[in-house]
Amino acid sequence: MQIVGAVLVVSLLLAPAAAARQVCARMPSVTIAAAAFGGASAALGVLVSRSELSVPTGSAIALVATAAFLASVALRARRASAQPEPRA
Amino acid sequence: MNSWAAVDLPAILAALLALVACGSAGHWLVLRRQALAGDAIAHAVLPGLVGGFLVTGTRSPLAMLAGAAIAGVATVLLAELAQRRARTDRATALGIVFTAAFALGIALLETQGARQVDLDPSCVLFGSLETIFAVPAPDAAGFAAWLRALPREVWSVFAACIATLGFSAAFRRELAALSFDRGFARTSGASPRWLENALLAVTSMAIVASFEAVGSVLVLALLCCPTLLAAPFARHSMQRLWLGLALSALVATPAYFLAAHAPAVLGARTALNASGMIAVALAAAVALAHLGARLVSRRPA
Repeated sequence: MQIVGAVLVVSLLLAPAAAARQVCARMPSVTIAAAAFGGASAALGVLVSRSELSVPTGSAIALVATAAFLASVALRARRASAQPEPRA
Repeated sequence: MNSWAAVDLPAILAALLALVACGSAGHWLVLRRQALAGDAIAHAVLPGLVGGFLVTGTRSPLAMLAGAAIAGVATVLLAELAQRRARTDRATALGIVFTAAFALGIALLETQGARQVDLDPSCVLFGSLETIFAVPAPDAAGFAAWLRALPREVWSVFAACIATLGFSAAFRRELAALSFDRGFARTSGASPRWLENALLAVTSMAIVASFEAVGSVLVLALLCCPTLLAAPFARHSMQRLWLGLALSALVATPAYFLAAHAPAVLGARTALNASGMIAVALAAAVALAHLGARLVSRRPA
């Protein structure tokens, strides 16, 4: 199913960058964090798909990347409630 | 019964009905700058189909279609939530949510023993226009027998067609107000929230019904191309809708014959994929319409 990979690439394109935007304030750190999130999602996704679950690799990576995005949104929400940041 | 009525007419009928269903829903999506929502719904259909199968345990069309429609609406609503929570733009949120839904669909399909579900990836993407034909029983003849022999896909697209056309006609003022000025729509008594969700539900239904017959690639073309095709010529919203549907029907019908019969005339032994040809022809027609309109308007009067 190589065509399916084309859809999942969109996930890997957007989710790490959006996750990095949540937790970093400056552009250089956003770039580095996005690359790190993407690499970590890919590695973790491959591990998940090789485990007992035997999820297809492409969708495992996409789901891990989305989970990272959700976690970073939750993290930013917690930080914001602890220390209200000034609205930009 | 000649082969034209048995093979070509049902396929063209399915394609044109899908065009009307998707085109009239897509018109409002394009006006509201929400065309990506159509893409998202078309992909979110996959987990819905698998989920419908897993929940009910049957492959009954109603369960699968209901699951798909629910998944489509849920994806767009989840994307709106993600957009608010993550403070991103709408396209990013939609992109993240619909790819996650698609990935979930594939994961479910592969792990939950749902592989027996008759979901052929190439059929999902490119549709099965070529398999839509009507062969009445040999002793029966005439129009009524032909109607009874039409496959179920044609009837579900027909129902979606009636629903979207009815919705567009009944709420044309409210939808136009909503598309151009949300505040005015609210103060003039329309309920924007309700109308937006109804539009999503109708769009989801049109996509799910058409998707079965023409595939997800053509569904995306049918959502956007009709209204864009009429954009340079139309003076108001409803005119753009009608003109777009008529013009794209004029493009889609020859495109079907070009794919189904032209290769044989030229001596090739295979036909081309009709859905793909219609999508290519519609996209080319949109480009030509916009280029032509620009050339005409540049000419000195």
